[in-house]
Amino acid sequence: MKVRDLDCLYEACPIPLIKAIKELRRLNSGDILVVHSDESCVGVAMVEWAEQNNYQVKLVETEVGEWEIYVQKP
Amino acid sequence: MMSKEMEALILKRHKTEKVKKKNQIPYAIIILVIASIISVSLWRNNHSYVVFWITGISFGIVLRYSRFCFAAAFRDPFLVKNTKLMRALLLSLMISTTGFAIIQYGYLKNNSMDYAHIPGMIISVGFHTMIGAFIFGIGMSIAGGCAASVLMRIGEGHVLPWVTLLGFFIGTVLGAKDYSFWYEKIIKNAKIVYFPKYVNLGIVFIVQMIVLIILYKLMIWYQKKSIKR
Repeated sequence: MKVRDLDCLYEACPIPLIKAIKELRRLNSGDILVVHSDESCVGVAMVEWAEQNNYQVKLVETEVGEWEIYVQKP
Repeated sequence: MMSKEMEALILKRHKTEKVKKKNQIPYAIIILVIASIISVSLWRNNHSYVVFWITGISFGIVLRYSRFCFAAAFRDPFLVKNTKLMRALLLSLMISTTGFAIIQYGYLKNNSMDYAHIPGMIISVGFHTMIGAFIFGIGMSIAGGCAASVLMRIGEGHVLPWVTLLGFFIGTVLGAKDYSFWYEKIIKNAKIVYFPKYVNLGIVFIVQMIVLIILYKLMIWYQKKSIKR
């Protein structure tokens, strides 16, 4: 199992999601991707996308206005 | 849902640092007090300004908490095959169709058909609308939000949308400056299409609702189809 961090701070709404989807394609099954974002919409969109595509997902607010999204490739 | 590995990772990363979230309630109270003071002072000057002020703030709160974003509504069906926001938009169109049908019915019963006075902004449609919408769509996608969500982001504390807001100001000023030119050359010649002029308002209302419901069903079908894959 590999853990990959993806820094998407200061990036506007759809970009972190696109980057995460691309990154997840590169990862192997069972690897965990951690997306760092400071936009509220990104977390919600990411969780929705992950649940729609049967990925394990968890949204953690680490600080006020900063989120980490954990996604595991099935 | 969460796997054990993920749970362990989150615990490992966050057990050391205590929750260092700042309490934001004092800020909320300060802003609420400022907003109330402004509404009181507006009430002294002009009553209708208070209505604008309060509905504006309510719109902002609803947009923030529902995360309703027009840019995402039109983008997500193509980008991530998610039509949730698009369906919400269609629902809101259904609601406003009903509301405007009632208002316009009440108006048309007592007044003549004068486009300038019928409630609901009846304006001409032509190629200029399509071109403008296309340009706006490009700008919206790059900026990451339409006017409403850009303002919402500023309220959330982002700095980048300020640049977009500056662009908005420049665009609006330029548009206002040249509006008369475009109006004389193009907009004046475009035809105004108002269906109740030709058929009964009730029929128009029902047809529009049917179209919206079909679009809604289509969106559900599209999302289901793309998930199965």
